[in-house]
Amino acid sequence: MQRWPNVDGVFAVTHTTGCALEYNGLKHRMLGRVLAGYAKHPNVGGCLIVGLGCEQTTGGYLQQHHGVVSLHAPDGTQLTRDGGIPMLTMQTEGGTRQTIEKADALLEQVLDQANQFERETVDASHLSLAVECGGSDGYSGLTANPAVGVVSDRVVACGGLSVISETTELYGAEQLLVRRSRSKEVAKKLLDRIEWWKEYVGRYGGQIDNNPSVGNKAGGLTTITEKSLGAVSKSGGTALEAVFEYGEKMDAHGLVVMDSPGFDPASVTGKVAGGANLVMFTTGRGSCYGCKPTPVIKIATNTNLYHRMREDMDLNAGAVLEGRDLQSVGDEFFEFALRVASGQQTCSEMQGFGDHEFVPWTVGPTV
Amino acid sequence: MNEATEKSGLIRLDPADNVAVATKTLARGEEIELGGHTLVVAQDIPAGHKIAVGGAQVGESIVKYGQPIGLVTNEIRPGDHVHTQNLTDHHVVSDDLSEINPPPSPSGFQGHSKDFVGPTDALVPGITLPSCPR
Repeated sequence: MQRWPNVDGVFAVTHTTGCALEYNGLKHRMLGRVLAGYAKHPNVGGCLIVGLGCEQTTGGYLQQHHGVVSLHAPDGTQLTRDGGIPMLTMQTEGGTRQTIEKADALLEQVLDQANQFERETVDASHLSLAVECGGSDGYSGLTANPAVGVVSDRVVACGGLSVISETTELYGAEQLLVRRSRSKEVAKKLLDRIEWWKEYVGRYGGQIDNNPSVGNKAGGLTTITEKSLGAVSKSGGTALEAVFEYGEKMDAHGLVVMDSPGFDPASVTGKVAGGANLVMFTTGRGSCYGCKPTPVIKIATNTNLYHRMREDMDLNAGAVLEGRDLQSVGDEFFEFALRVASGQQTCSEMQGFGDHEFVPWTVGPTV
Repeated sequence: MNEATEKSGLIRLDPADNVAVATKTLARGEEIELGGHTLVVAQDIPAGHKIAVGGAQVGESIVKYGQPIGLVTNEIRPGDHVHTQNLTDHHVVSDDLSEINPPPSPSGFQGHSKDFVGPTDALVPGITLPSCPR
């Protein structure tokens, strides 16, 4: 990688579906949005798509339905044989080994191209902050989540985007977002997603209020309403401007909701696919999550955790319980976020995490 | 808004709350000052868990963050551990949109945007890159 100093790394976006699904049905569209969102992500300087050839989700599908287009080599020549998508089809290339050889050559060209990007000073309106909580405990809603809410307000004030998701963990507190919605249409869209989740969970004999996990309960959270009231504080106090479907490109500024499950890898994958270029992730029990291509800042809800898992935690919100003012802790976190956006590595980045956290959420039968 | 410091081991988030959150493990029998009253811890309370500030009958609401978080399922006395053994969720989604009142957009952070050093704009699909200085 020394040959390409402006490139932070290469990662493989693999998944476990893509066929045995209805063509352009709900499941297919959700997967397509996420794959296309990663291919076109601002943190992704270049990509190469590899497919088998006979599946439902080919490069051709992504081109036709999700706007994935071609790349050119720095000297102007097209990177792909057919001038369409930078894609290799194993069945056309002649099998596994041939594909790998061709990919090796193409990747060098893609890296050359990605290496042309250099850092320059820009203002914080370019920030697209995803806020997430995982492994929550009784402190999450007291310390880390409200502190992230302060950061969310700052990012919005700078003209950036802040996105909260985990719809199943907004249930119970959704009225707080409804009241702050920019319009009735936005509010209704949020309530529609909540209703969808109630019906979806109910279809399998479950109950949406049976959410808190074993770890949540061990940490002191009893009901989903309690958990969600703590979770929603990550969204700060600004108006809710829009509600996006899972993995949908977030063409907006201000605070938005993206529909997603509470499952962290899937939740973050959706927000990254929609364009999030920074993640703030609060945890009370001790999440070890990291992401590529978007840096994740991990915030401990309590000082005990911060010290116990020191190599996985970037920030300590436990300071709020030790007399520090919430606003000043939040401001400190915002300044840290700017440094990370400027290239300072987070703990999870230093440990190289993120190769195995691509989890596109899809809804629908595998047939 | 917070009535207690870390030293006492309790935080009550809102004056309307009938529970407080333990900020350290509380032992049965401990006496804690809260809002001019003495609360006697009735059972061991793990850190991060809730302790009842007042009593509550079956069917009444437990209030935290100034909001109801569920209904009591077994009678609660002051100082009791409040958790799955005596509290269950009871949330009803309202479709009432009449109280929507969004705050105005913020006017800017300290009068100017903060700067950071980011990569140049993402490659716009379909456009050939300009030639790079070598």
